[in-house]
Amino acid sequence: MKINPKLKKDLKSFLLDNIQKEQNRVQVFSADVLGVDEKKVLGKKFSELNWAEADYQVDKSIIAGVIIKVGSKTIDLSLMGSLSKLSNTLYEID
Amino acid sequence: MKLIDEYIKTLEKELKNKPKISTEETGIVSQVKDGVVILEGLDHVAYGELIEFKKNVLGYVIDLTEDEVGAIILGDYTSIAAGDKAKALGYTLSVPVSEALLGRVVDSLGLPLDGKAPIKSKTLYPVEKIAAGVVKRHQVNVPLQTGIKSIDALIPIGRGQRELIIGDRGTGKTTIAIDTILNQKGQDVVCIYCAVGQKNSKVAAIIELLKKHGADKYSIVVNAGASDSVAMQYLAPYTASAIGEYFMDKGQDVLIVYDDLTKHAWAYRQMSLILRRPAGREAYPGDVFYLHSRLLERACRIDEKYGGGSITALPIIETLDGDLSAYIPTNVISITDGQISLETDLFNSGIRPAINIGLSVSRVGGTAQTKAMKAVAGKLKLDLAQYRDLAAFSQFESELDEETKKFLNRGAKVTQVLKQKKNKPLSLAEQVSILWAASNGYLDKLPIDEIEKFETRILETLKSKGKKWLEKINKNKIMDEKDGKDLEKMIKDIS
Repeated sequence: MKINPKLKKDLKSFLLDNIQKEQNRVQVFSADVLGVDEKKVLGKKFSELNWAEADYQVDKSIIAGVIIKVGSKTIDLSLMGSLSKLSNTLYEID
Repeated sequence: MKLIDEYIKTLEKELKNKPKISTEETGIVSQVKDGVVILEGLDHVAYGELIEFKKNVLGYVIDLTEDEVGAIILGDYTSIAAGDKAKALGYTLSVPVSEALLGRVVDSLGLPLDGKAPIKSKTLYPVEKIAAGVVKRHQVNVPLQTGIKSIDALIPIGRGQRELIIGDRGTGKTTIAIDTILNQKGQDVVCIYCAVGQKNSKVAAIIELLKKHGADKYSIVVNAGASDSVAMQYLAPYTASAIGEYFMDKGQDVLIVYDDLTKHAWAYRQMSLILRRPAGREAYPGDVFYLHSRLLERACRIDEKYGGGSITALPIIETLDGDLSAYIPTNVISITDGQISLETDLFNSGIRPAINIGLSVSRVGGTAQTKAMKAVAGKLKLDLAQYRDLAAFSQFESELDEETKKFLNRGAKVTQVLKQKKNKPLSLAEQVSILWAASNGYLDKLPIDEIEKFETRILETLKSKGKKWLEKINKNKIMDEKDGKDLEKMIKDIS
């Protein structure tokens, strides 16, 4: 089957746009549901991120703080992350 | 209260400023295969970068496709499950290097395997490194004495050369390499024995042997045994090379034995097939040539202007049924600067080391041969070549003329005198004295089974009467007319 090249091009750019959007989607994990104020603070601190379609999730295991994910990039601001870093450092000193 | 006020002030200041936040590159394990994992995410990871799984298990990125990342696991891969998080560390694989490595046994990551203290070091050397370029290199012209008569006389090896040792199993390939290491005692050469996919019992025996001869003080063993993961087996030669480069950069001469590269190619084949790379001849991937060429190209001699130092490589390849035209053997033969070919038939007929002189060559070692050895070896080569020609021809003739008989006799004696017991390397002067006796006809009248005795008698006499002569030759590496006459006198006394 021969596909119209124009159709193929359109489809490709449509999919690429979607991927781009998905890759820039901000995901926020927090230990508790975030209030409006807290969201505002986050938006201010990371003004370069696209907060319009942010996705907020609750994950008890991080104890406190937030983890922000954008695509494959992760910003770990949680207590759990700091603790595991600390335990790694202690292990290396040993 | 003042204190609290201060705290609040600093907190306010920090909140005003942009926080210093480090971002991490993360991904999720989607598939776990034999020693290889496939990950999703990690969109900005680089080829060769290290990634960390939980419990400090490390991975090494070797495959980047459109939407997946393939990594080999360095260590225990059974603890990794699908869905695990992985984090990119932002740097490539390096090993700790220092003087403390001498006398140690380490794995592919430079971690000790001998149960002794961790290796203290401040320097890290990258496991994968581009070899020195044309400008930095110097011609190979300093000999590396193996202590084996037949090699030093006929297939001389120079410092910075890559000489392949090739042969079937059980023909004494490792023995030649280990004897060479034993002979480097007091020669200021750092020796690295890199075992890839070998039986751990064999490696243990080699470590014992090195200790017994006091060779452990200047040697390092890098071991990735048959039971280690293929990832470790794949990395071991590069790690050995990185350790060698540390000593070379300090201006020292290094000898690395890769035992053996056949198993290294097998390990790489397994990894490549699991990663679904297209398979070529004998199911090896397309870059199996580059696998060995980039490794052996790291052996070199650095010009004095750039600090000097050298890495001599003795890669070992195991053949099946003496087939030198199989895929991996031909590849490595074409990469190296010559080969030492060992044969089962010779080994079984008692010629040990079982070197096939006709098939063995050293492409660059000739310039590195010492003058003393050149003086005796030139004639020897001619004698052996004539012997080989005549031996085949004379089987059909029953009656031979005197001249032919003489050649045959000389050839048989020379072949006999090139035999050598294992783990008994000889110094340059010792080799020269024996070969001089052979090429000047002092063995012609002796029966074949007396030659070994005659050889020990020469060595004993030299040790008792000719100490000065031995020292002089070993130091100057030249044999002039007077030395020749002195030697003649001593040998005439024996015979």
